[in-house]
Amino acid sequence: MVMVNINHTRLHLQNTKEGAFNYILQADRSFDRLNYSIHDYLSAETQAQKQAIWPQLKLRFDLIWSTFQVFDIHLPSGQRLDIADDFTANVKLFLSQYDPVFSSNQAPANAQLQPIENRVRDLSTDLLTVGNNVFASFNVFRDHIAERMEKLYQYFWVSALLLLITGSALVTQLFRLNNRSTRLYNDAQNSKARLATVVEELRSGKREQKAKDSFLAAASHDLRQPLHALGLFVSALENKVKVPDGPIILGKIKQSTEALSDLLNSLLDLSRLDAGVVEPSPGHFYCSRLFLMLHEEFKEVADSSNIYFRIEHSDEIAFTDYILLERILRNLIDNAITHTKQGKVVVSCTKQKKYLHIEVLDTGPGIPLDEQEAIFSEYYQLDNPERDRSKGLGLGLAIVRRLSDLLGIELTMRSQFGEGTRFLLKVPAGQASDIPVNAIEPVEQSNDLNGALVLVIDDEQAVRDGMELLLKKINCTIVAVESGEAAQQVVVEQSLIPDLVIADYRLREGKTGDEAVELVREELNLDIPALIVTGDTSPERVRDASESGMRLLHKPVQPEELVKVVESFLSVPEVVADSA
Amino acid sequence: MKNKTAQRVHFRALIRLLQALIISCVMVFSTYASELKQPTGPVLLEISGNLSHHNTKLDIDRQEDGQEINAVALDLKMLETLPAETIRTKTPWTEGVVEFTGVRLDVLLNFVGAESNDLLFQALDEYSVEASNEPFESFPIIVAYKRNGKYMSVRELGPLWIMYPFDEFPELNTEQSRANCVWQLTNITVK
Repeated sequence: MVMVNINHTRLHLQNTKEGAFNYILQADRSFDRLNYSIHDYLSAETQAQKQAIWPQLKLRFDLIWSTFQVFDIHLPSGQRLDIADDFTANVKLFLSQYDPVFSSNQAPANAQLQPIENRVRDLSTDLLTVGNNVFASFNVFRDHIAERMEKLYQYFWVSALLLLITGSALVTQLFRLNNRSTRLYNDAQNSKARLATVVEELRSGKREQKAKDSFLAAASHDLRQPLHALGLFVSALENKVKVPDGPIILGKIKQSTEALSDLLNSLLDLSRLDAGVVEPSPGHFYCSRLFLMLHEEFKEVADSSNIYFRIEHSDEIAFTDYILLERILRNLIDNAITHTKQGKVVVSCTKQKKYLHIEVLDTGPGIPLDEQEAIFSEYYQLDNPERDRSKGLGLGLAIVRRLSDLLGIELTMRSQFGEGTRFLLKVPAGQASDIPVNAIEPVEQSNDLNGALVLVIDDEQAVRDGMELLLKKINCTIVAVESGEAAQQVVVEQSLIPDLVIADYRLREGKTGDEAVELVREELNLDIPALIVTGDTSPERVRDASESGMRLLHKPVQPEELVKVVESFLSVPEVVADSA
Repeated sequence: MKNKTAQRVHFRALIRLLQALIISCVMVFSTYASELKQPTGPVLLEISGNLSHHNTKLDIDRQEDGQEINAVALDLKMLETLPAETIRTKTPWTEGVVEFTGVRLDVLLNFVGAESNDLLFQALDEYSVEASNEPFESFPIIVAYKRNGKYMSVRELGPLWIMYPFDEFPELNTEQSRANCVWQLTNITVK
């Protein structure tokens, strides 16, 4: 719009209304020529000469006449100029006044032309004034327009600049606001997450548990150490007690040791689960295999408590970690049998779409509604305010909850106080085609290891002695030392190449078992198999020990377990050698 | 209205045909006699330059070197022999609608055998204007010798005045067209 108007204005400025200046110039020239002619006429000497010039003079008068037929000057704005109008009137007066003179074909006398010459000269001067005025007026007009256009341009630029500045300021502000809100949002999210974590920890008691974990770790190490040694000694004693009642007493001692071990192992299990070092390895398997084992395990206990215990036969296939599921079910069944005074404990399995619903049902006392959530926390025991140890530590359901979370198995419980409890597990269903054809059966190992050399590193004399006694039973040659350095020395002095190194994780002077093993390996430049035994159950320590990459055993190790592991270690190279 | 327009168109076509006939006659005549008739009255218009016909000689630009070129000098009678065209129009220099009668420029140029359409008009008051490739063949642009049926004196911007039909063809209303409307026309130079 603005541009169109400006163009229009320019056109208007250029268009001098039918060429006002042309008129003026033309008129000026005409006046000049008339003047010259008059001058020529006046200076002509003979009448004949005058007569010859006369027609031209007449023509020039006529030309002025004609010029002022169309002579009309006004400003582009349409305004009239008084001075121009006055001039035109003046000229017309002049023309009509002297028309009679120029109408005649006869050359007039000089006296007649003299006043005309003066008038023409005056008019010529007037015309010059008119021209100047017109020029000035046009300029004024042009300047006026130019000024307005200048202002318009300035206004335009200023507004454009303002718009630009405002726009960029707005955009910047927008970005800053956006950034700030993003930051605020992130902060809020972080705070929320942190708050949620804290609330969750508070709710689930993890806060307290953290403190408890460190206490447990410290305490269990000191507990395990002697327990571990005790187990080893009792086992070594087995065939040596000949006194009557001796074997019975020894059996009781062994039972008590095992019970103590179980408790500590449960604690360790929890620690391990909390540390996140337990990695499930899911596989496909028949539930019947698992059920059969559990039935064998619990039927005697159930019988002795006069409880009807049944596991319904099932042909379904599960897809999960076999060992961990076994532990879940063992805990649940154990709980059920412990708490049921009379009636029955039934385990069943049905397939529903993609899941197996494994149910553990009992006719026990049931759980009051207000305690149903609490039973899953550690050390919680129903109906045991006096904390009767024979009823267990109350860790069972806490472990079940952690394990089911770990495996992604949905665990629900329905219970009515006084009428029994039902636990339901939703286990992913498996496929028969994915079950390994030859489920690995434990290979029967001979108890004879042909004098394999085992290097034991432990800072406790009692443990070293126990180990020696135990491993001698399976025909191993034992070299027991108290530290990594001692092991190094022994190896060098006696030029030994051990088949296996068993090291305690925590040695004296802040040394660790894996460091000791590394020393021996470096000395011999051989990657000797190694086994780390640790009594430390704090999650961090367990994780550290796992990261060393060596096989890990937790104290107290049952003698049978230790023997089994040692055997598996020592038999591996033989198998490889056979197949090679 | 439609009928009238149609009639006009027919009439105009007829006129065109007649013009063409006359022009071709003139052309035929001029081919075996490139010398045109001499003017008998006062010369109103001199056409010079790139022409195939002539009837007089002319000093180039009135220089005194004595070099002369062929030219055509025309008097009123000769102009009136050529087919007349009348246009009615308002002009910036006159009041009201004015009727101009004269010779179409393209007819006139054909008559003198102009070889180009690049012209220079000159007037009695020494006004001059160059007109190149003006649409003389498409529009009835005339060299008028009559205004409202009367011959024009010098005082009335005569005797010859180039006129465009501004009212009938508004597209002709340009600065150049108005500049081309030379009054008191005396010379046409064909370049």
